[in-house]
Amino acid sequence: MKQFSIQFEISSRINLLLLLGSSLLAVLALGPGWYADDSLVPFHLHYSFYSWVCHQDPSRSFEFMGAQMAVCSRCIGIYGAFALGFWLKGITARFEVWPDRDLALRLLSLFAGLIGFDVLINALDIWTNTHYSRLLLGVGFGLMASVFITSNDSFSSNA
Amino acid sequence: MAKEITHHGMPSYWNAVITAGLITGTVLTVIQLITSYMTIAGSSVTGMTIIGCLIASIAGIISNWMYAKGYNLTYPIGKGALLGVFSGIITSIVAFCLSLFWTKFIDTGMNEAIIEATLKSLEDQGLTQEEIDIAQSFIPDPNSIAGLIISFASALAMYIFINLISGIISAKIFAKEVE
Repeated sequence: MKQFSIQFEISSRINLLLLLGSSLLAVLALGPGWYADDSLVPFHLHYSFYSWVCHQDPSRSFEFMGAQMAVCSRCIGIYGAFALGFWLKGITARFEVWPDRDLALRLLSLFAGLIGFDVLINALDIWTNTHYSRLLLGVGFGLMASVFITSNDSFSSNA
Repeated sequence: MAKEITHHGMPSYWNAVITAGLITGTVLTVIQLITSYMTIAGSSVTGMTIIGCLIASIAGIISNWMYAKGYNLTYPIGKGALLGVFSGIITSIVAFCLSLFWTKFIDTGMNEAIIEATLKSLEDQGLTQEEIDIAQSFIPDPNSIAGLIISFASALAMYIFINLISGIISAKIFAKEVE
C-alpha cells in the first residue's frame, strides 16, 4: 500500500521544478509594465510568448503598472493561482488542511465546467462576464490544478 | 495498438505521444489558419483563440490517456510529465511544419496580408506613422530565419510547459491503479 501511494505523489524535484516554472510563468504573464518604459509595450516578447495560449484581448485584460498584462483576466488568475498553490502547499506542508486527491479532482472538474459554462453563456449573450468573474473562475481552476497535482491519496497518510 | 515492448518491460509510449502530437498540432494549425484569415478580414478572433488555448493542452491528456488506457498501465506521474513534454514538442513541430508548408506553398501572401491588416488596425487606433514604424520593428518578420526561430521557440516553450502540466494531471487521473 505504501509503495502504491508513493507512486502517485510528485517527487520534491518535480515539485521544485513546477514551483519555479509556474512562478516564472506568472511573473511573465504580468507583462512588461514593471520594467518597460515604452508607449508601445504591446509589442514586447511577453505577448508573442503567450499569444499561443491566450487571446490577449485588451478589453478583457487587466493592466499592470500602466501596461496591458500579457494574458487575459481569466488566464492571469489561472497562472497566478497555479503558482500560488505550490507556494501555499509548500508553506503549509505540515498541516493537513488541503483536500485529498479525489476532492481536488472534483473541484478541478467543477471549475473547468464553470469556466466552460461561463464562456458558453457569455457567447450566447445570456450574461456578460466581467474582469473579476473571469479572474475568480481562473483562480479557482489554477489553484485546484496545483492542489490536485500535489495532493496525496486519502489513504497515503496512514500507509 | 501494436505492443512494442521496450527493454524496461514497459510498452513504448511513442505511438501515443506521436499520435497525440499529430492530432493536436493539426487541429491547432487549422485554428491558427482560421484565426489568421479572420484577422486579415478584420473580424474579431477572441472566440477562436479561446478554443486554441484549450486545444494546446490536450496533447498531454491524449498521450497519457492512450498510453495508460491502451495498455492498461499504471506508472508514476513523472512519466506522465515526460509524455506531456514529448507530446508538446511534437505538437510544436507538427504545427510549425504545417504552417510553414501553408505559407510557402499554398498561400504565399498570407503573412504579408496579416502584417498589412495589423498595421491597418494600428492606423485605425490613431497611432502616428512614427509609432507605427516602431511597432513594426517589434513584429518579427515571419519570412526571416530569425522570425521563424522566435516563432518556433516561443511556441515550443509554451506547449512544453502547458503539456507538462496536463501530462501530470492526466497521469494522476488515467494511470492510477483502481482501488
